[in-house]
Amino acid sequence: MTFIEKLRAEVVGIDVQVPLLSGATRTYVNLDNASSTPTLRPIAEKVDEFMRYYSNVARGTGFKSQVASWAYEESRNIISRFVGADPKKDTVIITRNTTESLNRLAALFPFKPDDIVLTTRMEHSSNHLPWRRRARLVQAALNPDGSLNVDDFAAKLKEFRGRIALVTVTGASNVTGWVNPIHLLARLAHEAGARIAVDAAQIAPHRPIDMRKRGDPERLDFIAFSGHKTYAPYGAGILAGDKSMLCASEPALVGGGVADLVTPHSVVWRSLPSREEAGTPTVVGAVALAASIGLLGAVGWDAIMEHEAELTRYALTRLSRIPGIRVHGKTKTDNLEDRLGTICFSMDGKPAQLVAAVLGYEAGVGARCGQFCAHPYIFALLGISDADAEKLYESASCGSLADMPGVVRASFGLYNDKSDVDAFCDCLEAIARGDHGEYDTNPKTGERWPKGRPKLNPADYFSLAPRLPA
Amino acid sequence: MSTTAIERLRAETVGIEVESPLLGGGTRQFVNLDNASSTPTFRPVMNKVDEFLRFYSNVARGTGFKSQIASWAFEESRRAMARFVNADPKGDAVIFTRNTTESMNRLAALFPFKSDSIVLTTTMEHHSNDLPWRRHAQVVHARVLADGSLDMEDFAAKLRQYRGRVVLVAVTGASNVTGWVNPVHELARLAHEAGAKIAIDAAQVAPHRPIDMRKPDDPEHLDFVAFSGHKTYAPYGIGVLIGSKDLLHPPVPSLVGGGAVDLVTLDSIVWRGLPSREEAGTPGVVGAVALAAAIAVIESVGWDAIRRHEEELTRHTLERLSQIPGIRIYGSTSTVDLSRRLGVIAFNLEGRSDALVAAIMAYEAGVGARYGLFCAHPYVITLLDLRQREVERIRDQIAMGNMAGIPGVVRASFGQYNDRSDADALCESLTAISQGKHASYQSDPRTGEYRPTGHERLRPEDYFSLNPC
Repeated sequence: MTFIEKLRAEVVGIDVQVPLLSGATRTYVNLDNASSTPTLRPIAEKVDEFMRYYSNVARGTGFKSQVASWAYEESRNIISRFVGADPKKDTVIITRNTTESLNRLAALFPFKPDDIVLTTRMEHSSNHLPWRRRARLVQAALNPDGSLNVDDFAAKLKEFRGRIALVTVTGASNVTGWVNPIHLLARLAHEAGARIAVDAAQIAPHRPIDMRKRGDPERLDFIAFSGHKTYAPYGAGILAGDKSMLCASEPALVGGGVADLVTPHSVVWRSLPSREEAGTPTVVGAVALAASIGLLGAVGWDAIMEHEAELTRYALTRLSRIPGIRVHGKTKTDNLEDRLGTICFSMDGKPAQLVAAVLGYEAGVGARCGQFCAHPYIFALLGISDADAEKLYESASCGSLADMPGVVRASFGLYNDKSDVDAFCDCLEAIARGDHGEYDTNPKTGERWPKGRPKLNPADYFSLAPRLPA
Repeated sequence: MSTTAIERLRAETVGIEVESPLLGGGTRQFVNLDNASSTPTFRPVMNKVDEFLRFYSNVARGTGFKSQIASWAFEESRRAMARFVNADPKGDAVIFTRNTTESMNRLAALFPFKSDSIVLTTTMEHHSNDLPWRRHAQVVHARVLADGSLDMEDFAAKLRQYRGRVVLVAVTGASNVTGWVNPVHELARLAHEAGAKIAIDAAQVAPHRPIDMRKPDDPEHLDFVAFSGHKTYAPYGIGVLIGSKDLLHPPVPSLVGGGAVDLVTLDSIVWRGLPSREEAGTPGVVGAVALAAAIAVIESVGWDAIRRHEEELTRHTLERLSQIPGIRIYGSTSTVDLSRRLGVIAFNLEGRSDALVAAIMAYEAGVGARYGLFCAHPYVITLLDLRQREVERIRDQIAMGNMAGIPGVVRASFGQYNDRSDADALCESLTAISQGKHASYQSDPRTGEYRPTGHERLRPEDYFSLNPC
């Protein structure tokens, strides 16, 4: 048994049984890792162990406060090393998630009034909307296979040269799994006098990230990622990057911990990272993320990449044989270096919401369907014109989301194995044969549930009420 | 011998048994008197989190079994928050944030201020209920009395003086320094009479007293309430902002990204309704579940039992402290009426700096307390009666990066799991210090922190490792 195979047994909740429409149960198959990952027992245990020492950080003099403050700062150091940040010139700010990190960067980055942010059409809303309110946004186009059109990217850099202050791209698509050549993009951005930020939420659990040394033309200036996609769903995210550009005249959020002195009319602000961590920080989340990084390090990137590529190859091969399935993005299986195990697809004649519902109710497979907070990208993949998108905008404005076109996504974590892929593909084969139950549709949301069946009652499986001491 | 729920809960406090190393060699059970800063968690809360992690999955739009369970648990937790403060299930939104500080920043960003609006707050606030307002409005501070409690007459006078311009009153439920409890409903009535809304920073009061926002048409109703999990036995990175939907709904959310929108095209956006529109990105689902579990633990013990226990502890401590020569307690020292204070006690010992006293308590008695200005600088400066010239000198010194000798106070604060042995450990340590029975310490000029002279620094890595393998 390899280390990665052993780790599967350590996934918290890997053994959870789910009820099926047939009346039977089966072990849940989690293929929604691009959305959020479960945690692993060594991480959960580390968190529980840390809870014995938990105390507020900074200025507490007691034993526990010293241990907790050390653990928090040491977690920051581990995160900094994980992304290859410069220990002196970069800072690591602990946030809630990547979305907050990118909003923070957008709030702090020293934009001038006519600045442009160059991004791509494949971004998640979190690497799109924050920039819209701070600068003019230009989006590089895509190739027909959904990958970034690097020629168009370079052309846009040339076209707007001198005005592009920041390039911001995802490390990998959360829809198709395409991996972007971030260091090449960094070189192009720097040659054009721009900085580069990488939304690493998707890529962080799958590939090593290296911001590289200062002075390297391929260096990444800013990195953001989340614990909840990296096996540490304890509410921490990070923003790492160049201190000198994250030190605005005032912090983004204000309150406790950001000021050395406050009088009724004046404030002496602290330095980074404290000044960007107003209030009590997410110490437990940071410790969990550090533990997760420790665990990823123990598995090793080569093993992770090899295992996930094999799974992806196997899944793509099986999917290619199922009639009516159209995989969006890269379908070739010879070289999987430039894609993650995130697979999105459509099925002829079967709406995405129906396919996802059948997977859930009839095969115990947790996948996801919809637009994945990347609406412009989905519309491009599905060939929906900008004019049609505006029509959808009007119907969404009226509260109707039922007809929104979408895709189904299955995404692997390092703990998934071939049996998960088989469960998923077996179910899709059945759907392709029309071998599935009947479903009702919620006219407002488009959500499907089995016809004539009561809704799942979560309270039968989990209660919020804690078990109290007798 | 039968034990009460509160006594049983002490054994359920995670890490209650942890031994603290002492200066002379040897150890003693760590005495945690820093609960006003952050509380530990209880085993039932931690176990609930561990159980939930078996079902953890991202919320919203996931079709799998786990996503349905997790989405339900998250929304149930939200309803538990609303019930905890008796929010209006229809008219109020419960927004999950990271902590009270973020909640207050969020409210400040969303509240519909006009250009000449005034926020009336008090001199006793934590910075988190002062600085966020300064960037959105003119801030007026109601004074405090000599004992550190809110000067109600000045509060009413300021409301009158700025009538028509005060759109929001922002006060703490209880001081994080002296533990004074504010009469929030009376303040609410005054605020509403003057046409203002009221927001309560409930970070301190939430674990100690019931909060009741009351019906929207009640003149004493609270419009906004914010509090944190990490002060309420759920230190899992979660806080809440609860209040009137109508006033938390500007055209554009404060943070933008995934989950805040129904549709994004290249030129247009359809924003979601509350609370989703204010929870951009993946929310703190685990934190929300933890806080709901902690609330259930608190409610199972019962407010009467919590109040009685904490009052007894506070009375006992105040009585013993009053016998220590050279001690000065800030705030109420009455051991008769404790209804208007929490078990948060701020003090100084004559002739010894706050930083030194806190260090001796930690290194020689294993008592975890806190010292300094408690992110309430204007309040502590007032309590210490510092002159303007002294404040300016301090500001210049801090600006030079020198934190040594900055005036402050020591604070001990109780949680419901503390008992008399904890109070006694505190008082015995302070008695010894007042008698000069302690080792020698030296201060780090950069941080102002004291460490025992000639001793190695504590090595946290001897006690805890981040490595999970």
